[in-house]
Amino acid sequence: MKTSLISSLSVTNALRLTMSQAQRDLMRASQESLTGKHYDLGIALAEKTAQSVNMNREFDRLKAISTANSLVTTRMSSSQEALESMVGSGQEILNTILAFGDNVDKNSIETSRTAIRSQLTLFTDMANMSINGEYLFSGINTDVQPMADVLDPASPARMAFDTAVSSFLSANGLTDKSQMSAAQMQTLLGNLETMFTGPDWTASFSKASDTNMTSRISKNEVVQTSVNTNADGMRYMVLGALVALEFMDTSMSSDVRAVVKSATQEHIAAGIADLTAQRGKLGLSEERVKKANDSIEAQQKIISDFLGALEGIDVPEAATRVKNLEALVEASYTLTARIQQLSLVNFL
Amino acid sequence: MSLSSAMNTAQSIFNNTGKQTQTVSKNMANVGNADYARRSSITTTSLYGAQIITTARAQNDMLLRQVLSSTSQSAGQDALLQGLKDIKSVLGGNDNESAPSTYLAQFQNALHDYAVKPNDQILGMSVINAARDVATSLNSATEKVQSVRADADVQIAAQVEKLNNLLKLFQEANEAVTTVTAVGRDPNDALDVREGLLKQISSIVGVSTMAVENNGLALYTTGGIALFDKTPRNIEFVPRSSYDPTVVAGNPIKIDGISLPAGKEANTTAMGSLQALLQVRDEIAPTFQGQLLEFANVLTGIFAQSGLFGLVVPPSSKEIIRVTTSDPLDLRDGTGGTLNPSYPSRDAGFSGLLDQYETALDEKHSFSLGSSSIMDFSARSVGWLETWRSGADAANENKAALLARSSEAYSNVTGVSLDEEMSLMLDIEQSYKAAAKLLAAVDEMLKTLLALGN
Repeated sequence: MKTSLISSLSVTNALRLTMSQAQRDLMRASQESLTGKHYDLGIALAEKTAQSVNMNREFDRLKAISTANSLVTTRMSSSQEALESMVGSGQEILNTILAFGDNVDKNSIETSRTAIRSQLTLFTDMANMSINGEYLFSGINTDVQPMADVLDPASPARMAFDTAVSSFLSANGLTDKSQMSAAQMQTLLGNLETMFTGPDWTASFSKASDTNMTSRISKNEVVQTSVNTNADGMRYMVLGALVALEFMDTSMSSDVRAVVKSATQEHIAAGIADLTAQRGKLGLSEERVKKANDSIEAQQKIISDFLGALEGIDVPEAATRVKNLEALVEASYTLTARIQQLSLVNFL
Repeated sequence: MSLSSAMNTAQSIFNNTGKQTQTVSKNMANVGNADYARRSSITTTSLYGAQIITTARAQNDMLLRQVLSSTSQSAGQDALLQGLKDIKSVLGGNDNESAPSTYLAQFQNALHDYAVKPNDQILGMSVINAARDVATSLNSATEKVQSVRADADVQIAAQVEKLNNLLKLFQEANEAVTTVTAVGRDPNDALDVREGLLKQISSIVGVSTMAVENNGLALYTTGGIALFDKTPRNIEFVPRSSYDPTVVAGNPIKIDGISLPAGKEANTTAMGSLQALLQVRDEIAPTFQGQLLEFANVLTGIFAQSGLFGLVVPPSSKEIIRVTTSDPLDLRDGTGGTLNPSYPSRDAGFSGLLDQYETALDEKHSFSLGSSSIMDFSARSVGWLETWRSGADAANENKAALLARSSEAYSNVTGVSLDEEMSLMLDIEQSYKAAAKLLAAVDEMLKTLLALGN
């Protein structure tokens, strides 16, 4: 008859099992206390793993968007600077016309023409500004330089302008622009305005696309991030400057020059007003980007808190667990050694 | 009472102690053998004092049944968990580094960068590269899932063969038990062998036993299919040479002509490894593969206007989706550039289509895991697998503990305790000494008696 309810095999097995389990738990707990996360997220989170994956992805996406936003910001602030300088050029041209418009002195007029020419060059350079390999004012046609050089007599843009003037003269039986009456000048300027504001502009003067660049600046917001040279302000600015260059001439009678002066002033002023409005639009977008970045930052904070709560463990608790398990492993070593010695064989 | 009868009694003590020593030493020899059930000598009273008639084998059928059942459960759960771990390995570690969901997220971010600066073809190339990564991750997941199925198939084949062999051995052991029992001899050693085989069989397939005449056993699976009744039943299985996503289920395991059902749930109903392997091969792996196919399908649809992805039809075990364009301009402007506003020339800053793609990745589609965006679906798919793995892991721990407990309980009842055997040996030693003393005394007396006669 068996009197004891214990077998030697189960004693050694139980000891072995306790020891190996304690060692395994110790390894896991020490890794958890080092990383601050569950040893095996999938096992610990089960169906919530999907949340963890989603949140991690969201976090990376926000980071990517905010990095890309810096590119958008660069584009817009460069555009702002260029537009500011363009408005400045307009202002200079306006000042020049004001100061010298009634002047009949040939030298003074030449000086003011030179000033207007250099401002127009500056204006064109600004309109053709490129950053990171894209033309800022081309709309979405970013690979193409948008503004034609109207000061180059061989450029199609200038030729279109000159043709418009010369065909008007010949249609009215005139041989030189100085022969025009005030009324004829008025009509010609009207024709030119129609030409600049109509499809001729996009045919000869500007290669930009009417569609502006748009960029996604947050998960739900897309904003306009560029303006283009087809804007009315651009057209009027070039028109005003060209008319001033072409017709502010001592050969003209004073009443004709008065018509030219007032038309030029009007155009440049309209140009400045519209470019300022464009700056305002970009400013709004810049503000949106700033807001979007702020909100991204806030969301990132929320997400990382959430992830911390989801994936994280109680670090002090894990550290305590490590201590306890160490004690347990030590105890099981001691016990194993002692119990293995504890045999009747040793006492016979 | 005569002196000669005292002599006889002493002799029977020697006889007893001899047999008892034999039993005790056999017990000691098998102290480390888990399949050995402890023997004890049963003594009865006879004319000359005690006499040993039988050697009893410690037996506890209820505990044995529990050991067999927990062996089956634990083996099944373990096989399931291994399969799940194998599939999980394709997703990477804690951060799911190589999961399709991870690559898809990177792809969306690359797409965003390109949409912000569509004239930069280096950014465009990195979108194409990210798309290749997505396709590669889907393909390598497919390859892994199909190889898990093929591995399961190979394991099933090996285990079926092993089971057939075990049943043949079981027949021999069972016949040994019945023949010895029929002639009234001691069947204990044969019983040990048979019990060891039974434990091995139960780790492959769950068994229930039925006692038949002469200590024989008939075996049935826990589902009631006959495994062994006097002769082993044939277990048939034809392995497949290869698996791919178009193969819905592998070949069945036929026991006695009846198909063995696959296990169900994460805390699997599988008894023994065979059912769990069937579950991995025909249920879990194909479901996960289905999710990968859905993923590939929807992704291809989203980018149809640019022909970025192409489905492989029919899907093979190595490839279900591929990137079909290497031109980032196709991606930006649609195939051939037709969607660019100034087609046939191209506006380099056109981001409309790219942005549409970027948002389409967040739009809802109907998936097997519910209506969600493809981004969300890719995460849910990971969640689905982890739910299984987590459930299987918890169940595995419980079942392993159950097996350890029931084995311990069984071993405590039927196993050998060295200390007990040692103390029994002391008893035997004492009675031997006593018998020797008795013999010496009788000898002395007889000598005295004979000297008297001289």
